[in-house]
Amino acid sequence: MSILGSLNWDDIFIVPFFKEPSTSTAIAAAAGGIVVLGALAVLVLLTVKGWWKPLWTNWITTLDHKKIGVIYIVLAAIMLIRGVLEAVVMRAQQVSPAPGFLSVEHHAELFSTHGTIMIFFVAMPLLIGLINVVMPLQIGARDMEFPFMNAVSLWLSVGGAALVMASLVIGRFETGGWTAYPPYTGIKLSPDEGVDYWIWSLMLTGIGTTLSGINFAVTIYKQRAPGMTLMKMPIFAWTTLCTAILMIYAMVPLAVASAMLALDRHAGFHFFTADAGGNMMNFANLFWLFGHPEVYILILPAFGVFSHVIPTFSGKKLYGYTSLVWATVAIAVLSFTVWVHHFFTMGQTAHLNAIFGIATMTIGVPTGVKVYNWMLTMWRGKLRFSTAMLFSAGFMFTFVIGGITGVMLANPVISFAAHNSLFLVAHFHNMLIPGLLFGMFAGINYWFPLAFGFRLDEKWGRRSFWLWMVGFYLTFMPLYAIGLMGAPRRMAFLTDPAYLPWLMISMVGALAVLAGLTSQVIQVWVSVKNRESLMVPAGDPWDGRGLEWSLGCPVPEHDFTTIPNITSREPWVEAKERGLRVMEPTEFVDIHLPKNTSMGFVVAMVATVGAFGLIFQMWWLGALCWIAMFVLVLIRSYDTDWEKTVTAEELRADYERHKHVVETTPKVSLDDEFTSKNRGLVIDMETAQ
Amino acid sequence: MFQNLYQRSRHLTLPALLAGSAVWLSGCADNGVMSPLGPVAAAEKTHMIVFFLWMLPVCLPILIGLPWILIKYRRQGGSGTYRPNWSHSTLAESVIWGGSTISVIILGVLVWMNTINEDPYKHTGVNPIHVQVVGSEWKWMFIYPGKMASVNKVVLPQNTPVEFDITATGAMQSFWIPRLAGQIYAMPGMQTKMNMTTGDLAQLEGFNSQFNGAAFPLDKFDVDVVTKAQYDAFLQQPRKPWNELLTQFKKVATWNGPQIFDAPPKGWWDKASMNPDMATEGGAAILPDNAPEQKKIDEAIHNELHLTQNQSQGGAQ
Repeated sequence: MSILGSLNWDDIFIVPFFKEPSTSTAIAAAAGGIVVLGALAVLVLLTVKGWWKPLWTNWITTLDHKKIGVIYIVLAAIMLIRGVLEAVVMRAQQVSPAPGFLSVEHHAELFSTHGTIMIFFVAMPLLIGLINVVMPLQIGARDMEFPFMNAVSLWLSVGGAALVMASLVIGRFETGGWTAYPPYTGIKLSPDEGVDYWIWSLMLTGIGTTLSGINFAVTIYKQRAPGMTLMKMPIFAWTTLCTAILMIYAMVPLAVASAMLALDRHAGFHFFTADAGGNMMNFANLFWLFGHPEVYILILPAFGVFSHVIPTFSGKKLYGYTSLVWATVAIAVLSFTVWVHHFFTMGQTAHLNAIFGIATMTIGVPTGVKVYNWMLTMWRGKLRFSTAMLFSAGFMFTFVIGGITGVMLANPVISFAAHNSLFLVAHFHNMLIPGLLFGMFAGINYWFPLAFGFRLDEKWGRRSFWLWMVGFYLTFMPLYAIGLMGAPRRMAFLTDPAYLPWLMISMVGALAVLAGLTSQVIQVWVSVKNRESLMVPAGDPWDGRGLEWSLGCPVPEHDFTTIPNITSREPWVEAKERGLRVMEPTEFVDIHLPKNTSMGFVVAMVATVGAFGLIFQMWWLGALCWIAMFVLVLIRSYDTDWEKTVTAEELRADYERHKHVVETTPKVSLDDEFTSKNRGLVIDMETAQ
Repeated sequence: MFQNLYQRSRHLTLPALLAGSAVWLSGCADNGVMSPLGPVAAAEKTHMIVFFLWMLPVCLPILIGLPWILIKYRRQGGSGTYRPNWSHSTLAESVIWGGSTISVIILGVLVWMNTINEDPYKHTGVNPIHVQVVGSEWKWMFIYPGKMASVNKVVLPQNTPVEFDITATGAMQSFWIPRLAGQIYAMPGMQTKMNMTTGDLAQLEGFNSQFNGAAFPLDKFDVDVVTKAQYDAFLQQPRKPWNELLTQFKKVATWNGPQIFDAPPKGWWDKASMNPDMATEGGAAILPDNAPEQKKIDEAIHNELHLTQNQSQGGAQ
């Protein structure tokens, strides 16, 4: 075996195009080219602008939970652009005259990367990022319980994403879908490096996610402000806690299943092969034992976001707090009892299918309760349609439709007729686009000022909402229809002429979604350009209710100057009702914050290089890197000089500074909420005195 | 301007949606469950509609109530009263939790009954015809035990119960004839069953719905539902020897048109399903010898598309 393992010239992205020129290989070469040129452009920009040093000291080496969260969200944004572009290419492929411009396998690579990216490198980083930014601020903590581990999690996820991007340039990704069922993904039927890309990029991000889960759960258990009992916790913290527990338990089966698949492929094991006692059904079981809780990992944080956005923009207390808490816990528990519904068609007995079908529908109870609770929160409120609120309302309406088809699919008999069809594809997009993306978009629009100190542009935000909303309906309602007409999923071309008009509508929808995404890029661009007029230094730009809005925007590195005592569920609302505009300080004491360190980044990058070695069967490189990784963690563990002190005096000075800003900022009425008059401290003039 | 637009269009969302769902429920389907031919597919269609309707009591209040609340309680121009501290109602809690629990209990009972009644392992009538199936990389073998074997073509008498015994070689596949019944996985080393009753005379298409590589779009087969006499005649057709099928089956990736062969020796299918790599007859495994060439697959796709195009043109004339 050569030192470069299975790597050879044909793996370089432009070589296949020169060997066999076709539209399909040209698109593959162009995609690789975009990645290479994009990376080069970033390098040039950083060098020309002299941003290397600030990037390194402020971001790459940071252990600040807010900055780590921001990097997660930036990662998700980059990957979302790729995922949406892939979706547009696939829609275009299906409306072109058969067999289209993509080869069957290239199309398969697209739907495989689309799914893998959207779940693991868009959805997960979005929610982990948002939790990182917001959750500690909501519970009165100064950081995560394990700040260094947080950095390791982050950079492992970035490493996994980098591998998926690398597959465009070197070699190729797998073609078996994001679920990668063997035996198709076994070494016999998928001999190239594609499946190994899937295994190792998921392994990296999976370890990162498990560590994040531990971090979130322990932070919530140990770092809550004094007086904040579990039942006084904000709902977003509750959904984070449940998500964290799901992460801890659910990521393990995935790691196990993909490790077993790796052993099958390269070490001659027979876990999932058809011969020598292997059985592929075990993979389906393990995968969905992860995969179904994963669905609720994705959706619970968004439920948390809605539980804050809706009360804030309804000017009203959250309806049914206790109900929402128990509904969240119930969903988390039940999510481990339904995984078989992903393969009702695998030949198990009718009784088993029926039990899992009923368990699945049971989840509909707490979920339905939540939607009603949000509706009752709006009822008798005063609704303001900010971008965040629009995304929340759009979610509720659309999600219910997905719920209807979800309960339909929970019936095994209906599943027999809709499994592997575009009806199913429409269903899960109907859950995840409103349920996850809209939730995260709402959360980002809502909490953005905490991280950056300025609001996002409302005009482009609302445009992006309408384009996403309309785009969603146009894209996926036709897929429901042709799914029922018998169109299977993952088909490179559909020849039945009856499908064509529906596919055309779907294509238009995909373009609308792309326009929505473009609006969001413009929104960020415009907001950064106009940041002076969007600044909210006094904090609380939306007449907010949670503890996080008692802080100035952007929130300083130490978060709270003093940790408040909590006596109720909405301490900030109560403080405002008592006429306060700054939380009363408790006791100023010296605090310790972790120093910046490059070690998290280095450890994860070493792991990524090692994973790359394993993908191309350079076993020596894999072994070397993974040993190096453990040595580095060991070195870090013996580092005693890792804290810096912020003195009580500094904190007091910061408190006085913030108080001064607040006292010199004029009150803003709700009418001026979305104008440049909003420098923070928005209040309802009609009720407040 | 945009604000006006979104406020206006909000009123249109629901009617547009209802109109849309009416269109797709009205069934312009052709190869799907919405135009069933056999009783099993018909039952699936019924369940779909019943479940959709049962979901409405829970979901319609949201789909109607939400836009209503959004309009009535909007801050500027709304007419609703404002109760900022109202956050609990025991009555509402009981209705919400109780109502959705009752719906799920009803649906749960329906699911239990449906699933057991429509169990694909349950015979749909007395003495069903047995057909053994082997799904392979982009072709299907059908065995009428002791009578004959065919590739990519299964012929069945009308209004007759049938039991398919299904296995696969290579990748996992999903066996599906949507207008007759639902699907079930075809897996190497495993046996699954699918029972159904054929309906009226028809020429249908069955296919694999689980992606399995380069010629996945060609992985389908003809299903002819014929009269009893035609079925008997089909079984009497002249055929080629079984060994030829076996050699061909492992050699070619995609099959050029249906062909008829002798039945395999007794027990062959069982052996094949137990161990697809080793299932041999005279030393011949049924797995393909080599990975198929991309060129041949492209050719096959091209031919197939050309063929369907001609057919649809012929049909139009």
